[in-house]
Amino acid sequence: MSQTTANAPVRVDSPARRILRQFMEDPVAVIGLILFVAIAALAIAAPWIAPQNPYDLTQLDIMDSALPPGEVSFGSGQTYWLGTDRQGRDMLSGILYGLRISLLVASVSLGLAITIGTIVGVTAAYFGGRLDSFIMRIVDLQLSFPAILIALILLALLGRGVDKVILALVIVQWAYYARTVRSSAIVERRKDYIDAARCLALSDRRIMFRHLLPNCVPPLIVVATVQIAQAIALEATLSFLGVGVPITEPSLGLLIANGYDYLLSGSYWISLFPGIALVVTIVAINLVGDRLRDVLNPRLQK
Amino acid sequence: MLVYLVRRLGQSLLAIVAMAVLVFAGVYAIGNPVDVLINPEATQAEIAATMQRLGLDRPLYEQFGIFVMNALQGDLGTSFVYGRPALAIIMERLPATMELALVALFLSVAIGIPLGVWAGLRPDSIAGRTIMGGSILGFSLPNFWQGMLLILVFAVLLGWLPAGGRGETTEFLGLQVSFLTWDGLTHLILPAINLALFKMSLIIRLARANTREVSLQDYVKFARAKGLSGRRVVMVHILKNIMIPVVTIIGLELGSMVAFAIVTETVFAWPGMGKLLIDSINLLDRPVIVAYLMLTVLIIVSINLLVDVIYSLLDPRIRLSEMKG
Amino acid sequence: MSKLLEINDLQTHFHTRDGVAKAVDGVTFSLDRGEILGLVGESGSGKSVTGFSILGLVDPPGRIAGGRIVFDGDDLVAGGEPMLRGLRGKRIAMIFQDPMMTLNPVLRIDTQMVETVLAHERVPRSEALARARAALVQVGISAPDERLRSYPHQFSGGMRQRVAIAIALLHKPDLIIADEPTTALDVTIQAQILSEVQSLCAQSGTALIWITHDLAVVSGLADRLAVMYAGRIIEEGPTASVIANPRHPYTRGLIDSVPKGKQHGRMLSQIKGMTPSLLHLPEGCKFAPRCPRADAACRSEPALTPTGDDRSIRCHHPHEDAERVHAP
Repeated sequence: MSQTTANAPVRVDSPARRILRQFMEDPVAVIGLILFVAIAALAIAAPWIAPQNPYDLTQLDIMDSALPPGEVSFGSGQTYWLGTDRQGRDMLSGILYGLRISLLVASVSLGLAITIGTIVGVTAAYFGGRLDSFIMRIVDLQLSFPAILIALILLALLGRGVDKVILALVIVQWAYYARTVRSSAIVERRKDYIDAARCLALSDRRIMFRHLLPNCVPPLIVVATVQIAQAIALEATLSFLGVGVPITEPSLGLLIANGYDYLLSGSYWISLFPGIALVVTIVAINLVGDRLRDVLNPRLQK
Repeated sequence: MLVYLVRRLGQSLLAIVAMAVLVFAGVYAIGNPVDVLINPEATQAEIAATMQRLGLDRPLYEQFGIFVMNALQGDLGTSFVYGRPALAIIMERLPATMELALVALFLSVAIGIPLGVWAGLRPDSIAGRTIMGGSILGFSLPNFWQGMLLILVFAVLLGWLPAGGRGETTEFLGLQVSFLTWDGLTHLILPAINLALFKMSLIIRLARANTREVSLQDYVKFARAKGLSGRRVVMVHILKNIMIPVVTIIGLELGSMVAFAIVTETVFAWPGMGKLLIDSINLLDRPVIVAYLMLTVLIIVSINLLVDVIYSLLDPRIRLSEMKG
Repeated sequence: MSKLLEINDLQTHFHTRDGVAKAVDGVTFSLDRGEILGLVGESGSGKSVTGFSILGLVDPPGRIAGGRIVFDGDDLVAGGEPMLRGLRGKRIAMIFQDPMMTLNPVLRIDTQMVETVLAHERVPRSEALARARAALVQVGISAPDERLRSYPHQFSGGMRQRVAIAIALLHKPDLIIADEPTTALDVTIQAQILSEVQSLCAQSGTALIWITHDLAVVSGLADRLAVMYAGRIIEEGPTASVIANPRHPYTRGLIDSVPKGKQHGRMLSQIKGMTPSLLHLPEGCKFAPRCPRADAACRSEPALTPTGDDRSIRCHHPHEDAERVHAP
């Protein structure tokens, strides 16, 4: 990709600039983008900005158990702005660390799923024929089953763990990217210049990745924004159901699950605040994704 | 039409076989089937007997044959926890899940289509924008979190509705259902809304997008030029066209509703097969997991098949081209 | 006898993000009973929007911003939707440009025809069906019973347009607005449809507004011609007179750009420049930037002026009567 940019004439950045300009025309989408960037920054910076390390048991004080928001610690004098959970853990710190794990799981699985899906999709589109129909059969078969069902079964067989959740998310998501990439690439594949490139005896790999792939990027971005929101929600759901991340590395979903039992007894904050963090994250991504879909959709361009 | 049906049926069977192979591979080939399928507390004699019954001492392809033959006879193993056939346990829970899914589907269609069409006819009105904003929220809030909010507001804060369970049931067509008793109905409302909200958002967005597209078509303008009432234009000319994609999605989503019922049932302690699955995962009751998986695959594949048939009945163009093909 | 249709200073504007596009800006014309008017113009000249305005079928963001449309004594703009709905399909029918798009793909032909009858008359379904069948026969469709039970995709384009015409004829309307109904068809079918519409209108005394960009099509059909440019009528008069002696430079350009037999081997003349964007119209005469005769006077907008011989022209420097300058 970097080579493409280096060789390309200067005005190549104008579509990107047009997209950026059009994106910025929608204030709601801009708010979504700012929110998402802020959330991602908080998640990355969690170890440095969180008031306490929620996994360091020595920092926890059982006397501070289940304090409502705004209470001050009995021991350290620290203020718990979002309250504490049953173990006396500061919810604000727990949320920042949980956000970190949620985003880590989602983005790693996103990266892997895009990579696999793109390679499979471009390959199917480029070679066509039996290979193409075989691959697309598998994709269709997989997409005809709900993602949550596949992920749940995988995790039921594999057991809990951050790595296993990532694996499950990759397995349920790759097919979306494969289908997206294939359908854009196949349109491009039928154009004459690809045949010309083959006549020049350019290598298959070069044609696939230098000529076909760039045309798949806009729809890929749209699908990726939808899918990353889905991935975050799915991870949270799996963790909530108790088959996702382990207790030692709680994501937002697990924090919500931990507080669920106390919800009915009135300690609403243990579940509510991680939930709000989760929802704001997902809404922010969806707002950005909605706008990107409009901006990148060639059918809506005049 | 018949050719189409037969071919479509073949595809469905293929999907079931593929999933059976995957489940078999997951249980027999990757894991140790002795661990997976035999109760850890079983005696040596029991283990030997089960191994012989399941053919675990035979080659893999023979094991697969036995697995398939047993599955075809409805034998998907015996639950460790209940000591009864896993399939029977799941079948007992099936009506509760189907009731929940169907009521939720009904809600999402009955509310989602009118709202979506309304928003599509007046995309720039305040109502249209509000509906769309609400649907983004319904789309973004994870299912379990929506359920918890519903419980928090309607059960804990307001105390209007129960927080969980199925309530009083009564017999209807030989099945135990909740929706015919007042107590059962109050228990059903929150879980059904919870399960419906996500699909409702999806249907709203789909109906809106299609309504916008269809209402710009010449044939809608021509229908108005014929002097038809606005009501007939919307109810017949627009609605019949948007029903094609909407029915497809509704059908496919019924399958995913059965899957998503896992979450709703867990949140609301609804005694369906989804709750059973989560309990079984926590108790490592693997035969039940396998049975759940095979049954759900069967349900989803059947629904997809049914949707395709309805789809071809709705769209005369498809019917014709498929008949020729 | 009063006119069937009188349009006076019609304004139909589209409110877009980039400004107000005046698609129709001061159109005035009238139509007698049984008369055929050819409404001619390039795409974007406002001819179709004029047609849709009569039936009140302009889609948002467009709306009628001013003027009067008087049909048989009733003002349709003031009468609004209830009055229009009673007239649409009943006394004023419309035929659209693309027959592939005008029939609803998921409804059978009988449904689409019967509902048109029932929209205006309380008759039994069987009678409505019989009338639908008769209308199909009238437009020359064979095996009407079988056709009634078909879906639109089982028809060819020409057949579909015939069905659309049959639907338009169901209530024997006083006026049919035909929006380029032959443009999307093969040339041979075009000629058939054209002559059929002509004879059907003549039989029933139906007035016809034939909207087209193709002068050649209407010259043999219409009693009168109205030429539109940038939302205005710029020349209007009896067909033979306008064709033989076009006085507005734009009309003249249009006629000269139609190939004729005796010009064989010569270059066709064309109108230079492009149709202006409705959002950025020039001051004064809208055609001036493309006009060979334009001068300082054209910076003020000319009015549509009657010239006494039943014709009107909107031009400061019209070609002289009977003057005929051939293209080089």
